[in-house]
Amino acid sequence: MEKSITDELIMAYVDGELEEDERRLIEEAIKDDEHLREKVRMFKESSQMLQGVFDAPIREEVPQQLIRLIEGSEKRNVAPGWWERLTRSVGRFFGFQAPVPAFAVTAACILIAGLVALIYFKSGPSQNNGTGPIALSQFADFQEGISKTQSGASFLIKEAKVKVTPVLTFKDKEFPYCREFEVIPVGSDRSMEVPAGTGIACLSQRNRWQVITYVSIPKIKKKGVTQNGYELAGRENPVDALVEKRRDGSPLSRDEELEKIKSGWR
Amino acid sequence: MRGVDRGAEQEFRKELVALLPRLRRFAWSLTSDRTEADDLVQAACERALSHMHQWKPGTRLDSWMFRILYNLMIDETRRSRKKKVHMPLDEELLATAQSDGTRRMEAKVQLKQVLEAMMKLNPQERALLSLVCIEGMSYKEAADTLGIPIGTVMSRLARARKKLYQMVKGKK
Repeated sequence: MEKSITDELIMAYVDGELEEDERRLIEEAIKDDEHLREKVRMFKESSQMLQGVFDAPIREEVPQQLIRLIEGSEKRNVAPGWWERLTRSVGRFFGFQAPVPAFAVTAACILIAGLVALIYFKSGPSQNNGTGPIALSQFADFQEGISKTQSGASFLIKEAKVKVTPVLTFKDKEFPYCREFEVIPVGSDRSMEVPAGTGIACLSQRNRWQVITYVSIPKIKKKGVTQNGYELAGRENPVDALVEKRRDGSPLSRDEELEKIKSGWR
Repeated sequence: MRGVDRGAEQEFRKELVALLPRLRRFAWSLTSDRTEADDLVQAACERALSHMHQWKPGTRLDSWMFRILYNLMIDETRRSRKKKVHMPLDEELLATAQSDGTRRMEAKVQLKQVLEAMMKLNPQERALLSLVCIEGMSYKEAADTLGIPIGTVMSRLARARKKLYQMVKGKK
């Protein structure tokens, strides 16, 4: 009996593609055959796994430029020049749909540049003076938390008023281990130095975790413009891209990670 | 658009917008890269809009679009040959999908494993997995979409599912 039951037939049974008589034949055969039941499980699970993993685009919002492209409201066949893109961006920044006039763009640019300069000179460059996200590693709470907290759980850095959640641990090409983490501000004080974002901390030879990169959440890299003149729709999280570049092998499983935490990352 | 009246054109555009989430999912499953996937969807939409007159009203727009998208991906693969395996993740999506931290971490690890495994399959196997297992198409519909016999769909799909399962579960 089992010889005539091919993998294709079992798969078709799982996918509901069989006629009634074939379906009964399979049900009869798998009743007493653990090997066949295992195959049924395998085909079912492979489907469920894929549905779960690729579910995200169905739930998320579609990029507006794709919708505009189809609805025909974007200029086609001609790539917009840098000035047009600038006026559109400035217009969007201030809530206008259409490109704004040149004098308004100039005024807006001066205003934005002034604001940026004011913020910069007031607070100083965030990564070079011992403050800001990279300085997270100076906090004892960070050192202890990143070393002892499993991915998915969070710890608090009281002084910085942030909650840190490690999300992934991986062997690195340069450091023994690195951890990707996310930071969320807690409390109502908005003057804190560490904005919400995501970063990577790596274990140095001196057994200290150092933050090697940090990206605040709104900074999402945009790619250029297609040959047809549309802004490309894709986005990428630069920290995830960096993890992909840096990691040496698959990320640590939950058990492997726990083992490393217990052994003090030896 | 040549040979398409205004009402039909508007209807076409409306249906295409409604199809975007599924197109983005299909493209992602083919490329394992969100950025490349959206660029592919964009290119497929541009192609569809310029060839709108070739689509027969009353037939399935999803199959037509999946075919365009798949063919574009094959053309692109042939052109570049050196396809990088590059898998950025979408933080926001995972954040909304998995509010519980542990589950989120496991989902993230599994996502990476599945994306890596998918890129080790050939493009046709990826497309079949996507059309049948994710999009829920019948074997006949998948065969029509990719222009291959139904028997080929069954044998390649069964093989692809076994390979994927072994690669992902084998790592655990």
